[in-house]
Amino acid sequence: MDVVKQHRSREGYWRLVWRQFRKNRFAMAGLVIVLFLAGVALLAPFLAGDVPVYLLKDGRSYWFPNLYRGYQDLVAENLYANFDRWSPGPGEMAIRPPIAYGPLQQDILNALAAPGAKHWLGTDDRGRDVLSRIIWGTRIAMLVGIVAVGISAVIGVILGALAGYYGGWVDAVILRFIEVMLVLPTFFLIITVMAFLPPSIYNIMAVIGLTGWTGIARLVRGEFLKQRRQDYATAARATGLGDGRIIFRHILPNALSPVFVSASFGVAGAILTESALSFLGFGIQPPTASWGELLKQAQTHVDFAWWLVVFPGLAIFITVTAFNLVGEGLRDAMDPRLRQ
Amino acid sequence: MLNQDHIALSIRNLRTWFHTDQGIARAVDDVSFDVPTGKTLAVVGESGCGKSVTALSILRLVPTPPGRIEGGEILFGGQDLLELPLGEMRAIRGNDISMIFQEPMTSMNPVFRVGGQIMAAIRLHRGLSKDEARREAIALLDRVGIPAPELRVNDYPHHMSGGMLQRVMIALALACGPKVLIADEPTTALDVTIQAQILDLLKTLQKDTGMAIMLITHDLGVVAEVADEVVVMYAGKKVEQAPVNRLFAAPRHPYTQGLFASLPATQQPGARLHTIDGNVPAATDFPRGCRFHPRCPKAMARCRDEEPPFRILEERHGTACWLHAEGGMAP
Repeated sequence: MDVVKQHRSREGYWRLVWRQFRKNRFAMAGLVIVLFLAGVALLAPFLAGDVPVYLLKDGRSYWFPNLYRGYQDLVAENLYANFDRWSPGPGEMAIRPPIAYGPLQQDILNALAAPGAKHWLGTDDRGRDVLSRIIWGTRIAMLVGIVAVGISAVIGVILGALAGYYGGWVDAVILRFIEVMLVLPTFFLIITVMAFLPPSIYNIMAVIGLTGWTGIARLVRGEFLKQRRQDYATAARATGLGDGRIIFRHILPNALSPVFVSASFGVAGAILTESALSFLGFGIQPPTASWGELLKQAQTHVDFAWWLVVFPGLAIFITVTAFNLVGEGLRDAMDPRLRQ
Repeated sequence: MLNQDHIALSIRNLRTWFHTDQGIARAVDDVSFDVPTGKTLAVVGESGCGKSVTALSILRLVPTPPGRIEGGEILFGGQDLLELPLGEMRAIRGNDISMIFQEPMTSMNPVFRVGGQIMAAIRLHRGLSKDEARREAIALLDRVGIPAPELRVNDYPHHMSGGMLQRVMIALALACGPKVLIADEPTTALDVTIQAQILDLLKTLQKDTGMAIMLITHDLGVVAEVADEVVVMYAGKKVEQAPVNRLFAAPRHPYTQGLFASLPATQQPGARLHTIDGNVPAATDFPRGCRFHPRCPKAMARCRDEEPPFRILEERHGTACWLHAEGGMAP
């Protein structure tokens, strides 16, 4: 049957975007890096840490003590908290992550060691392994980036959709609100707010998210202005559907592609903002490892301990670049004018 | 005069204006007509004469702002649709009165499967379960002549051709057994052969269901094929109304006469095509008096200043023209 065969060879919108995206080598490189970073963030406890992945001790075997939430849990399980001082006795064994140093694990005797066989990227002034800290910092960076952009996207999409769909005074009010937000120097606003709030990671994500939605809102508004006059929107209203359903089920999926592009750039921006905040001391607090925090710690020793600056800096640079490349790739892939 | 029971939809003195920066555009100005049950009423006229706005006004889908229904009544089932609260209006849209549009390609949401869009309407108005709605959607697609409907129900709009999609639109419009179907240039975007198929389909479905069809078109060929009664609009006004055979036999209004004279089929092969000079004026500055007078070959002094009233000349044939104002009856 011809009808049946035709069905198989057809392409959906996202497959079309993907085919276009794949042709862009830089975008693909960015995507690979982003996926790699996501993997690093997810698997941090398996990549770096002093707590073993598997432990055979006192005749009992423990799977994944590295996933226990912290010292308390380890003690509750009757395990050592200081695995760095412990080595397996007879009949005992431990499988440790490839980088067997915790991000907080100090080793004063090895402080400020240059990169070498033992500490691949060197140690800081308290003898903490830089690579381990960068790996755990990836978690913070990715989490902040994605959650903050998630908050921005939700606010931006809702406000932009309402403004674009209803127009009139709704649009005017939301637009003025957006303009007020745009006029405020966001970064200084964030610093001011963070000065009053306890510097927890949740506050950082919330503040970055709550200030970063204006771009997405304007994009979505523009899309809705265009889409609400399309025949299918009128047809949906002629079917008797309600506004909520038309806005969120019918128009929104057609208005989302610029949001994905903007979100990719947004993640890059949020990571930069978080690093800058932490660098200035308003963000993630020591001893928690975040990239900006690492750079701040590096300041005192920057004259000779180059590895404290270069590696966290590279991590930020590569991550931000990767997300920007993905954003650009998406933008080009979704632009039908560039499609061959 | 027709019995009230035979009238599915009655439009009375409808005025829909657009308040634009250039001024007030009187896109529909004091238009009245009835759509008889089980019959097809065609509304014809050039682009910009107010046909589509009339259709959108019936379902209250005129984009507001800038558009606004300034006055009149749209009587359906004994109630004035213009007075209904929005919730009740929604219950009528797609249920009692449904609409199909000119561009089938853009009237379906590209991100949903066609079956899903039909199912949404069925479930909304008829409260069926998902499985029942799906069966119903397949049955509807079958009824409008789509081959392999149980497969096609899963297609996205871009999988289908224009003619197929217009069938899907018709299936969607029929989903709840409407009493009135408004078809806004349903065949304009289609090939001639497909046009005939779609018109046949509409006629068959009308015979089966007894629904009234209000067909908006600029194509007199389409009118001849399917219409029972015709309303001719010009610049937001109804200029002539007649049963189809009478209108084709003896058009009264100079504008209607011009339209017929412009049909290639009525002319000598090789002769220059007849045209009506000029264009439809912009809706923001319609001329005083008769709105057609600047283009009218028979314009008189009176036409410049006074608007001609609509007068019935013989049974169910009426026109708004000073040439025929004497002796006609007020409607």
